[in-house]
Amino acid sequence: MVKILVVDDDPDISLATKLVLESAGYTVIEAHSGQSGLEKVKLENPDLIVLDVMMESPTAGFHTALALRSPDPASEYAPYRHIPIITLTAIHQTTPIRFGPDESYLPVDAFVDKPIEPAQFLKTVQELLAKESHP
Amino acid sequence: MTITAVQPKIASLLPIDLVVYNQRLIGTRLAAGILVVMGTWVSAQIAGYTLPQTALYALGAWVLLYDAAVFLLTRSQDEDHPDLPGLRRLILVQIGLDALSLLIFIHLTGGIYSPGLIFLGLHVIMVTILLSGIAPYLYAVGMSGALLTLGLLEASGALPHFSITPQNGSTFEQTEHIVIQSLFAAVGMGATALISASIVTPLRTRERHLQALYETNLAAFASLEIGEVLSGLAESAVKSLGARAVTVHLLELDGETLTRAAGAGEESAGLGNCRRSECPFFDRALKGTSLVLSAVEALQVGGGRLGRALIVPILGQRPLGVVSIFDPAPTSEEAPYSLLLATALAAQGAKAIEHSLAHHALHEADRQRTQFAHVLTHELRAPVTGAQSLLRLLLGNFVGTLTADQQDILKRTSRRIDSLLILINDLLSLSAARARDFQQPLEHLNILPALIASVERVQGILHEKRQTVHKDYPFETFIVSAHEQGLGRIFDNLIGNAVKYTPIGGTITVKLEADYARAEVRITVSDTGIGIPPEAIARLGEEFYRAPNAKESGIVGTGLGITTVNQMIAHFKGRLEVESEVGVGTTFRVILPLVKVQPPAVNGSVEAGYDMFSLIQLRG
Repeated sequence: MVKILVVDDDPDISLATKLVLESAGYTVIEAHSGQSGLEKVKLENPDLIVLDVMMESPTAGFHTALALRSPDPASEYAPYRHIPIITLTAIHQTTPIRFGPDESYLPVDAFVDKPIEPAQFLKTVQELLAKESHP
Repeated sequence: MTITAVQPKIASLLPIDLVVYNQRLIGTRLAAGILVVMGTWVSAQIAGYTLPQTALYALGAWVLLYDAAVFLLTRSQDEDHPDLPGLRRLILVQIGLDALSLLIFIHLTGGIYSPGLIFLGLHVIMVTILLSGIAPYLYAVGMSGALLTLGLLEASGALPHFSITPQNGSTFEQTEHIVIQSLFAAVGMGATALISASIVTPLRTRERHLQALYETNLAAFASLEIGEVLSGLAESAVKSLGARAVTVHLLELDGETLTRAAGAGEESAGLGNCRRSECPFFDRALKGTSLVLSAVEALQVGGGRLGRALIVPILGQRPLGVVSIFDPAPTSEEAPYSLLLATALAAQGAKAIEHSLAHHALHEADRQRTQFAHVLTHELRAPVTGAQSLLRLLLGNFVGTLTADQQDILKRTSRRIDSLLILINDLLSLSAARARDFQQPLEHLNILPALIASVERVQGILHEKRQTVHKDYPFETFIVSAHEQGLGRIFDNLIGNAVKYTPIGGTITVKLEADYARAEVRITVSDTGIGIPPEAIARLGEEFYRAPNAKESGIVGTGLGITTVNQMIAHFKGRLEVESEVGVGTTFRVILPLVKVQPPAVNGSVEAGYDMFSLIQLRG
């Protein structure tokens, strides 16, 4: 059974994400801040993480991603470094900073714009899970 | 010796004065040389004087010769940037040569009985104008001595005496006459110097004061940085008033704390930060009175050593601060003007301080506004994206199936929310543009990739609306000073608008070209759309303004796009031109300064292209 962690402080976005993922048969675990997201990663070892950016701080999601992908071998998140991350953000389309998954300084695998377009979102999730299981 | 002593005086002349005086010397000497030649001819041929004609003609020629040399030397100088030390030396050499020439002239025209003695007075006036201070008196003494020596040498027969009229030949033998004549010349020249100086010195002082005011004015308006403005004020006060030190204290908004904001001259002079209640002199000045402090009183405001001090308030719409001037030049004739000048300087300082404060207040207000818009738009987006995400769940039948009517209503709702999101996004990008794009450094980059990327981004809609896009790109590479994000923002908006306001099947033209004569790049975006009414064109730059026909068309828009485009282009030192006809179409032209052109590659080889043409540098 595939487990997906959704980290978002907006309950409506959380609900929308959760319902879409559950409709496709995934198990969804929720966290409502970057910090609790990190704790849930260690607790649940999910197969994929959906991460909001602006939470307790305007860049909380980025910090969560950076902690999870830390290149330091002694990092407490080293065992979870491989988990694919989808960043849920509005920044991608509204600011001139075009950071994509190809840019090394933000270590995430995909961006999904808000509001969530269910079909496209599910497609991204399925692609990432497929890549992870058949690298 | 005299020359080295007077050099500082001539050094204090204004550059423009030096040039003017030099030209005047050349002109006067030309007249003198011609007069010597003509006068000799007339006196000898018509009046029948017995003159050493050959020697006088030679003297006239000599004067004209070195005048011509000086003229040529001066002309070879760059007019806007004269070599000032060189010019100063040249003037001093001219004074020496003129004095020598005059002595020879006097010798040739009767020695101490020469009618040319009167010219000594003219020379003294000239020297007084050029070299103030003690120099004219030294000159008078020197010339009288030379005259006396000349007379004695002639009397002793060591030098020939030329008697030009029969009358003065008879009285020549008496030595007392020589001495008396020389004394008269000395007194006459001394008196001339004294009277000339009494006119020239105050004029020169006034001139220096004007220059100081002018410099303060320049300093005051050259910068909006308050520190630079105040330093400029302090320095010009030191220079113009000949003061030992000048300090500027600013009164903080609490009306009590005085902060030492600038100083010039001796650093240890003046008070540091202080409180108004602890310094009665500053307090009195801040109430609007300029004070002249005695040496003892000056110690209380940090005079450091005995000397007068002037305390002048800087008065704007409120008391802004005080200027303290320590040991202003004690020259008696300057005293009445010192306080007036200090007050005038302070008044200019007040203007500059108020400009600077207003500028900073505006800047801060704009920053806060941008910050506010940024936070606000993020706060606005959150509930709207939340609501839209939930609506899509319903529309996507993730939570049960909807009836056709329910679907229709939710689709309409969703569309309205989309419009709202576009509005918020535009608002966000405008504030983001202000916050980020204007702080990002400009770089030299090829303009074409940004243009191609923007056209690429509308491919989907172009296809949907079955519109044709004509692309006219050059072979050359145009380099402009900009940044990629800003160019993207400009082209996205203009091309996006063209697509948006052009009906199905219309045509969009995107053209990039250069105007080499003006060193400009032009990017033209034309469409066959609804057009912009003439009265609306003038208002396109206004935030949230939309042309009436754009509103009526029902096309979603915010009236922020062109505002952003305009500001971005202005940031890149370019301009935007618009031509439009309602119902026919619109042409937007972005004009940016062209930094550099790289020629196209020849035979597919980039290296060959560079070799053949090399880079054409248009602007630094």
